Amino acid sequence: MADKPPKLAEKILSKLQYDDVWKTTLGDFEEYYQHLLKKLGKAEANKWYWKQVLRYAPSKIIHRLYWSAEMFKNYLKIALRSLKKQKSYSFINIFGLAIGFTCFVMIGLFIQYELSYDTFHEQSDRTYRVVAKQPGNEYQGSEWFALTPTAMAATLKRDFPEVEHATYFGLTKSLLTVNNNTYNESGLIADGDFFQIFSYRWYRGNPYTALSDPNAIILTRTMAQVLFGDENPIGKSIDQEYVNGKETTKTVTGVIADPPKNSHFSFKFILNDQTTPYYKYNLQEWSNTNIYTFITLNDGVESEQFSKKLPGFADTYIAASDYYQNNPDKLPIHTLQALEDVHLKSDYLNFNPRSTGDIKYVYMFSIIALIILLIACVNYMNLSTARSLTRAKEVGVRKVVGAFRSNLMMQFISEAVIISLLSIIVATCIIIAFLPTFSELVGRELTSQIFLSWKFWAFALSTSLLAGIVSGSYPAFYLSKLKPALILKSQQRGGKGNTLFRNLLVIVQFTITIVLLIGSIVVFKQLDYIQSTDTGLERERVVAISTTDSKLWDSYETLKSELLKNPSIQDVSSSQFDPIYMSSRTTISEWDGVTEGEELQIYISPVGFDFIEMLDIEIVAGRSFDEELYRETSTDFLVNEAALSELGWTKNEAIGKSFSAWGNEGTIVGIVKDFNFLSLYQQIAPLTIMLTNQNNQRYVLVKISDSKIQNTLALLEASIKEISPGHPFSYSFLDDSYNDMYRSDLRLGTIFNYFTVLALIIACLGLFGLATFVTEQRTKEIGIRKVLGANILQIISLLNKDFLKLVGISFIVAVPIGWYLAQNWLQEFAFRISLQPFIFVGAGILTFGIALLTVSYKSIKTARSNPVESLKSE
Amino acid sequence: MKLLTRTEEFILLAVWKLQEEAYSIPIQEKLNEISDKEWSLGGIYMPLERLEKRGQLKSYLSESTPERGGRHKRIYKLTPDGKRALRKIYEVQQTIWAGIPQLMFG
Repeated sequence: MADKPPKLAEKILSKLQYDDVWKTTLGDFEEYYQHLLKKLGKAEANKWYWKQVLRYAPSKIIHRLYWSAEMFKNYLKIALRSLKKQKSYSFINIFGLAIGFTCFVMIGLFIQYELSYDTFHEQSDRTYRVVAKQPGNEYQGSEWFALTPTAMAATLKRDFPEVEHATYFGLTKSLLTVNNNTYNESGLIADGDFFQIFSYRWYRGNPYTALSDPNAIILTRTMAQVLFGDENPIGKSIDQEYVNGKETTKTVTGVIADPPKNSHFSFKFILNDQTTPYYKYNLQEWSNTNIYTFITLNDGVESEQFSKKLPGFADTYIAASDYYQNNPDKLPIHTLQALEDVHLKSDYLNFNPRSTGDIKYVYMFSIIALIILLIACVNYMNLSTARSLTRAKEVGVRKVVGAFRSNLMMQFISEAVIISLLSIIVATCIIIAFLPTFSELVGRELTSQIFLSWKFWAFALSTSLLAGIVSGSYPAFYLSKLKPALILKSQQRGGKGNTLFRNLLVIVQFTITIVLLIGSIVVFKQLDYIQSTDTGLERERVVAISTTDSKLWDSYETLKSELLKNPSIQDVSSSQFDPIYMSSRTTISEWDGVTEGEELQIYISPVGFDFIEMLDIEIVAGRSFDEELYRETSTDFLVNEAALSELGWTKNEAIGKSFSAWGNEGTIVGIVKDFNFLSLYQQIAPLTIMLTNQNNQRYVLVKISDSKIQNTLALLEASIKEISPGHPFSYSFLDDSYNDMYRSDLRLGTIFNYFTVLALIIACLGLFGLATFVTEQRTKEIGIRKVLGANILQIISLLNKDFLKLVGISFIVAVPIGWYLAQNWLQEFAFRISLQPFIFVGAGILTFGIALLTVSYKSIKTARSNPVESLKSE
Repeated sequence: MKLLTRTEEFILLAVWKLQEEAYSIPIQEKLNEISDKEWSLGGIYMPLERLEKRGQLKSYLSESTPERGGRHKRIYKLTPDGKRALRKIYEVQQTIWAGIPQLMFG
């Protein structure tokens, strides 16, 4: 039998229909084929055979579609009937799944948004940021820095043919003045191929030439609107002044779209920096790191291969600089970081342009989303298997009538899919209603525009199909396996294995819920600790007014005495840095008794008089800054206890010792108690507070003494505007700034709370459904027990016992998991709460209580019912 | 009872004549023999099915052979109804042809 009909054609034909009639027809075809083969040859025979495919396929396919549609119609009908018949089950199922979907979709949106950062740049996959490790220069727990020398970009492009484009940008705050209106805005100083690497929409101007003019400024659309209204800004001049800097006139050369929110840096304007005096200096100086360097590699260049060349490159230029000649061990090690990783994987880098996301949260949220969806699916499975008892008869009848196992599986899976489709509809409504709240919660701009995209619907439908299949699979497999004769004859009840499986599902759900609850409590306690802990600095009612106008600092003394006349103002002081976050650090090498080559890394904060008193910083030895004792010739320093132990002095020894920082020579006049001048993530490091004149100050600090805060603020604004007209008045309260530092933690706390509540709701819905079912199953038993003399309490405890045992087991499983995860999270904080047992006990009792309420609602009702009712019906 | 069509008549006759060998392909060959027309395989399935539905034919599966790819044959058999229908059409023919002189065909 060498000559068979074409394989493919035969396969198609044999797939068209399954029954015996068709098989004999295929046999006929083959026989006839053999006949034709002998008579007319292979080609003709094949042609004939294929013709049969064309002839039969269409009608057979339509036939099959028709019948599966017909069967589906029946499944749908049965599904809707059983939904209607058991309203509370249906509600629990649909609502539970809808909540699961809502969480899943919202978190999905968040994650998608997080992953979308910087991907809008056309060459984002080939673009890298140059980052550096600076050995020995540990700052806030890491030796890694996002900043690089200015000369890096241009030199990389010149030396390596692999580099297609290179650019740098630095952050700047500038005062922009047009028609005597001044705006304090943040922007970028950029150079090189900035617009070849970063893609923005151009409204006006030419991306290739806009930056080449040394006086160029490119505005975002919003900024252009603010400065020039509807006029065409191209060619117009803007007076630009760096904070504390010189004024120059810039010419607008382009207007681009506002940078998308999902970008790791933001700006209102971009300018060319070649006119500043630092420009030439920076291009030579390799030890000054103050800008971000980006390169785009040519197509096909492996970034890993390329970054191996960077250390050699650095040796050529950086090692040659004076500083590194003297300190060769501090030579930085450069490497590349993919642009698309910048947002999520920059936690270890110091000085990111703005606060970044965290890949950890992305992972954590994904896990939570999956877990909640899983819980919701588990609910469905759990309820369906419980209900299998009532539907077992239906299965039996269907089997007797001739349903195959595959039909039954299809039926149950399509029922689950119908429920999950219904819940998608419910979920969509919930999402539309709550998306704005959620966006605010996660601090990202998520829009419901996705409902218009087909991708979303494809995703939603496939998720719901998947969820339906997952949650329908157990009942499908289990119910379809039952033997019809057994079901119909002996009222087969769910076997032991079934009960075990159901219990296991409940345990899993409650374990997850309790773990989330523990997480919630821990995050809440830690946040509470952050807010209530005494950092050693009084933050209440202190306003920091940031200003850079030199006129204001010239008349600072007058302003101060003027303000102090107001009874609402208790103290006035000044500082160069944000008092909540004194993040500037320097290396000192001059103090009393210093040995040759000895150095100390110390944080430094230059402040004005009354700073210590205003913020209530405790002096443990010596004195505070004092106007009476002020000498022009010597600078007064305060150091903290941490610095003291580094310097090796006792409190009293230290007073009067000579000390020098930032080129200011003077003496130590007092010791301050250690206080948190950075954040609670870090241990307290050495710090010096330096008394300084007003020239370099940035913040006017005002302590308001009473509750008339709004009035006092208005007064402050008026007084300051009077001295420096045309300058924006920007202020912040210290306690707000303090809370801002922990915003991501606060956010995490809130999100955790929501998820915990949701998980608890879903788990309780599941428990409630199960309790309803089990009590219904046992109605007769309870009736008999009551007739025989059991009281209500005994019956309630009988019914509740089983469920509460499950919650108890979940608790035992959840505690170690919760402990481990909480411990992990708390590691991030140098200052943290300890994991006390009450956290776990509290979570346990809370869950237990809610579970008890849930179950009791049903069991009390059953226990109180009249036994006559349940026993008379047979 | 409705009279058989020509095709149906041919098929029933073929089935009757073929006896145990009455399945699609020999039926087709037989039909080709009886009439001048070239019958397609597909062309005989429909009337076969119709006749079976009407109860004039019945079918059963017989042995499979290698040239059929191991598939069964579907053997058709005349039912009493089928025989009656054949007899009826034979009688009708006799009646309508009666009295037509032989010389018509000369």
